[in-house]
Amino acid sequence: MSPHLDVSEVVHRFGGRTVLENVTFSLNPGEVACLVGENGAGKSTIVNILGGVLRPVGGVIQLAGAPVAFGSPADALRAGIGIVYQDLALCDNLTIAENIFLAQERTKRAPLVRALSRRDMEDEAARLLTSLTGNPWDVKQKVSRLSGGQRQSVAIARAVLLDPSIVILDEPTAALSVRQVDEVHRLIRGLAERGRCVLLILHDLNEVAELADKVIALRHGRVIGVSQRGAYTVDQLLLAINGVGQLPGPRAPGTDRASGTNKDSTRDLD
Amino acid sequence: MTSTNSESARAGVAAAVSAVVLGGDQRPAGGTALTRMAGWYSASRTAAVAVVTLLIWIGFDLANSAFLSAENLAGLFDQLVPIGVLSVGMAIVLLCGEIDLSSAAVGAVAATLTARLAVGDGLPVGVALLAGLACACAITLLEALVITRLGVPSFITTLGGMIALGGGLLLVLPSTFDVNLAGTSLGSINTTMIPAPAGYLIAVAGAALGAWTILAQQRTAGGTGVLALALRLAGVAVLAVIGILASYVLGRQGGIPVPVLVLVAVVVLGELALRNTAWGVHLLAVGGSRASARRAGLSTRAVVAGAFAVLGVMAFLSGIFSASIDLGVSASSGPSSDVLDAIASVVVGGTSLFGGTGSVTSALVGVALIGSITNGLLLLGVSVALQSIVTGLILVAAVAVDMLLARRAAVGQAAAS
Repeated sequence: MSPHLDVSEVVHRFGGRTVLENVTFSLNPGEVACLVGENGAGKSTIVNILGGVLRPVGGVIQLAGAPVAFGSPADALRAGIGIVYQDLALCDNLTIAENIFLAQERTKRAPLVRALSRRDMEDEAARLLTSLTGNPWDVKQKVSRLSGGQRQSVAIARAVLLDPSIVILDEPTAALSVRQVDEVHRLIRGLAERGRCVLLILHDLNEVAELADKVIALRHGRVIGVSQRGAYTVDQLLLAINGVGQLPGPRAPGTDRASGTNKDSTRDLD
Repeated sequence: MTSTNSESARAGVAAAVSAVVLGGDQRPAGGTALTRMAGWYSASRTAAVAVVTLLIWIGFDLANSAFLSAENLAGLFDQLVPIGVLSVGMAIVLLCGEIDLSSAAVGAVAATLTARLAVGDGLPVGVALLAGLACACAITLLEALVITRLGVPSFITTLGGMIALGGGLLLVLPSTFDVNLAGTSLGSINTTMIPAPAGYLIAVAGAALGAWTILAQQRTAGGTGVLALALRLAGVAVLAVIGILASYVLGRQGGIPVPVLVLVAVVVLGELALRNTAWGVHLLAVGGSRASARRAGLSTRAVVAGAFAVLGVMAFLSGIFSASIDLGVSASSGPSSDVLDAIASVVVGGTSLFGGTGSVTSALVGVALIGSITNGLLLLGVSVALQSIVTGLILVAAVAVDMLLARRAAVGQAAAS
């Protein structure tokens, strides 16, 4: 099975500071992968590059074998990447349905203009949220009125609206209650079972061990190890991301390429 | 400990109150009248201002019966319409989180160009108008380009634009520094009248459309409460009454000037577009959170540029109406005070200065409120100095009340969720 997403030797800098250095990893369909690392390791920068928010200064990203370059978040959405950002990226002044369909509005023909088809959007948003959470939703409420867990659900609903092939969730459970965390875990497994690539950013390493088929450890903008479920312990993971010790393999042959650790890390990819 | 107690007590009160306001359940109403009022008010600010405006009309007319005379209303509308049209454009730019200080100057330059081409160079009026419109939109789009591409804040970009266009106006004007429009077709725009019954029809149709929009919005926004809904519907009814009253009085003066109708038309069309098109949702999204809107896949630059293009059209219309009312253009056309009046009107009418919340109708009711007060004070013989002081205080008071009530409503909301 060839990887669906292939990130190869990606480099990024803010000003003169290198924040990603030859980052290389891949995602397979139906796989839950986890990016782990300390604050500032480069996790969110990777999310922003895959989401089209940032353009990498070097490296290649391939989707289903074809190189892609995202000039804007709209490009990434069109390519089938749905993202739940850490801050959720919702507009508090809009309704739930308006947020879920933002930039993807359903319209109907009206005299001279294409008017919003609010009923279609509300029905579909309610259906989507109910299928995700199992609860009925009033999608005409403003997002500013929602609790943390509800906001998380709305952000997830928006990320999966267009049925993306890759779903990225940046700290999806940080602000949730235990019950809500279970819901999000169930949702993540459901996405993987339906053949989607899921890329998570998590801080809780026990949660990583529970959810991730593959863990990609980052330190100071470099991939310091990739490991598969069962091949590492939480303690080993903790030591590795703190720069003490190595993350044990084995790497599944043919699916993972090693990170830039054994390469000339100062090579400029500009 | 004390503060925690008072916090939780306040939250408890607010929760009980919002439950009542939202019609959510049957818990007893424990809140103060002010807290309860905050919920209705924040959901219906523009309607509240419309009601206040009607009360002010009645008050001024009781104080001086000349207030609602045909002559005075005609004068009031001459004063209101150019600022009103400008305010519609300003509302749209404010809704997407930007501001424009140059728009009155843009209108003056565009109107002067039109006047010179039509009167000085003898071009057909239609061609001259199109040239003026293109000029206005080109300037505002250039400003939008500087704001979105170079990242210069709109306040600075348009402040610079305002100063530069002051010079630009002198360049566009002929060597006499004025163009007389008396007896020309441009000058007669403001004296072209339509009969009063057309005004009644428009007021009734507008009210029906407004009520329909509010009811549709009630369905989508959900749970703003019966009293808030009633206040908003009352606001629409008040606007219709003002429309019918104004049409009747103006009818005795020969009819309703075309610019008044244009103002009503752009408000109605603008509000419909804001509520019922993707453009409107995008405008509010960009004004609410630009970073979120961008990550959702919106081209925030295009949205901002679109808002400035609309402002260009409104600035042009405003400039032409001003020129028609003044029967000419001169070096004093498009004063910066017009732009400040427009911003004040939109904000008093209920649109946030920080983007994301408000309406196009806020422009109309804000202009009507501020214009009526200025006009009424003038009739009562209050000095110009005091008029300015009162107008300034109204702006600050309206926003202060808004902040206070919004905070109370927010406490209620947070406790309810």
